Amino acid sequence: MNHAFQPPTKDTPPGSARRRLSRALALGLLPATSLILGLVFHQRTGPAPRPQAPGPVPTTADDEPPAPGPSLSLARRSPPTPRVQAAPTSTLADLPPVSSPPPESPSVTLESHASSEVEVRVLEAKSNRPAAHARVELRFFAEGADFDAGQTILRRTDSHGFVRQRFSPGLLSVVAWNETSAGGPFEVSVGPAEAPELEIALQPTLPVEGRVVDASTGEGLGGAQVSVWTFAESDTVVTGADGTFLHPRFPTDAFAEQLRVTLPGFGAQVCYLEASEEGWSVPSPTREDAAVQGTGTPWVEIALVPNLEITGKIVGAGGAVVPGARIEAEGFYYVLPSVASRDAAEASSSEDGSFRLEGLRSDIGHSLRVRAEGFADRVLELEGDLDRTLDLGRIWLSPQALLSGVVLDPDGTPVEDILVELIPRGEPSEGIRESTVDTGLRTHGESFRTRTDPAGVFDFPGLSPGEFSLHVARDSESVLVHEVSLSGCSANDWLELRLPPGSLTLVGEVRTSGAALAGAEVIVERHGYVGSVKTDSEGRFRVAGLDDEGAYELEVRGTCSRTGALLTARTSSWAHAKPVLNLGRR
Amino acid sequence: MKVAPRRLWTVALFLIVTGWTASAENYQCRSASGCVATITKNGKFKKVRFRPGDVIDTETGWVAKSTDGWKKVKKKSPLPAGSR
Repeated sequence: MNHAFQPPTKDTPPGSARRRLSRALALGLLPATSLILGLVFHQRTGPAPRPQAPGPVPTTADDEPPAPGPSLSLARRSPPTPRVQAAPTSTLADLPPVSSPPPESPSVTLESHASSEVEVRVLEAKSNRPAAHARVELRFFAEGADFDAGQTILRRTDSHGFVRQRFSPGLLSVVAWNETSAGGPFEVSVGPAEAPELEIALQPTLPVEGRVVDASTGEGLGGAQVSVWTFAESDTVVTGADGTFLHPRFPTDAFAEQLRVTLPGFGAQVCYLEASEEGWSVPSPTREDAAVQGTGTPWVEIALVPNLEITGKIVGAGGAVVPGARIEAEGFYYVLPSVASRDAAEASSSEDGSFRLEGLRSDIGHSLRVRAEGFADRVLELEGDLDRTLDLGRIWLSPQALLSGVVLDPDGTPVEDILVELIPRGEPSEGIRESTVDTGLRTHGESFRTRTDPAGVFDFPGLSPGEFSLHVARDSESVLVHEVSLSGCSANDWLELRLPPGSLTLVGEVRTSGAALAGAEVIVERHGYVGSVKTDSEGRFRVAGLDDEGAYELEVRGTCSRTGALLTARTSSWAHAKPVLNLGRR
Repeated sequence: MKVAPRRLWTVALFLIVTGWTASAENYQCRSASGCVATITKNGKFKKVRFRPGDVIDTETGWVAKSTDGWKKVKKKSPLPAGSR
């Protein structure tokens, strides 16, 4: 066996750079070459992050000249005409014997008052003919939803290779597969005025074989579900009684994917696999162990550790039970020496305040965050020690502190939809134990984020007293930083924040047939989402907190008041320009 | 100009610390549909898909862009001690 996976030139466990540095310094390794490297890195990467010294911590979780103003035309987007009538779902021969596909989702509609039909067409790779009865996984994320709040729908294509599904505005990730081919993932935005159409060409896949075993006994584990989950969550196969499995669909267009194994009573495990027609490699998650590699069908052995079950009861002042509290556990374990996977579970407290979390790994530590309306968030650190059950008893919550305020631009006008982030100033805990499995990483309580409403107002509920840095930011860059101290006495603080005079405000206008278009949505992006505002009764809009370091992309969505037609358009504009967007002038 | 050896060592230590720690950064995939990071292997540029929630260390050669859904993990969470 050779060491197959050596992408990292210096394998570094996430979060362990400082620990390694300390070790190196302690050994007296300060050669002149390191000095040169230090100089080079310092110049290339900028200042170092804030030092992380041990200490007490808060209890809450946590030169191109600008172009002249553009004139943009809005164009009518006609709704697409369905090309093929949907056929009733017919039967499909089962997948290979070890496969156990989850039941197909009913034809549900994830829609609100404004929804669009997404049409997916799946084609066979070689023939380019419609792939009838192929499976299509649609993972939908509503606008503003957290990354782990997706909804997964599994459908089959009709006899013409089509799947149609209605969605409310959000983000959609789509993959498709049949017996031995797969395609995707493809990502598409769903808007109220958009009816996306996707075409997925299936490509041949590689089979992957392996065995799932109990980490403590080495015995094979039957009934475990195995998926290539960086490709599709729903495409699972089930291990036989001896723990072996055959997954027929490892995408060949990818350099590497992650296999995930789950089994009731055990924690989930993720394995990184590189596979191609030339050969395969299973790199070790630790630096000490060699990768396993070979040719032909990849063979992967995956060991599961017992499941950790956490119970407890959420109580408030005087021991009164708190029903409906949200309890979230999070830990990170190594998949590669430079990659960590998140192990998470969540639950709500019942009427008597009790809760139960299951499915976590018992060999790593977790942070447990408790959130309940009217109370301060609380984060607890739990060590990983292979105990299968952990009763935390009563978890006390304190009354919350509230921080609210308004963001104004340099002219005193409220700023809509600007990011406000509250970062606790306390030092991180040094008590988190790392291991060859556990990265010790945590993200709970790193910061609190919200966006201003149309009146420029923001709210941070669920806070504990402490010191914070409040950042008002656009495009990942802070426009304003304000230090905040919340004392135990001030239950509700109000801030009035005015953006500095140097920040720019993009002022524009949207018109249709020469008249102002009110209520149109203007979405601004640059290297990602910046913000969105609506036009006022005179068709004007303002986006404050910008700079002149690059042009911004503007997307406008509006409705013609006379015909009800949906209108969309895109343009780019510098912040100091005053774009006038005229409907129909193409 | 003469520089005292002790001061030189202090400067060297500072530069090494700032240089090394500045290059060691962890990024978490915060995109709901997953993220792509790139790495060079055997001289070839490779794209790899990651799950939402995955964390990678960019010191080891991974390239993670904020436009691909990666967000820098600033630090470990501030936690109260003695929770169990």
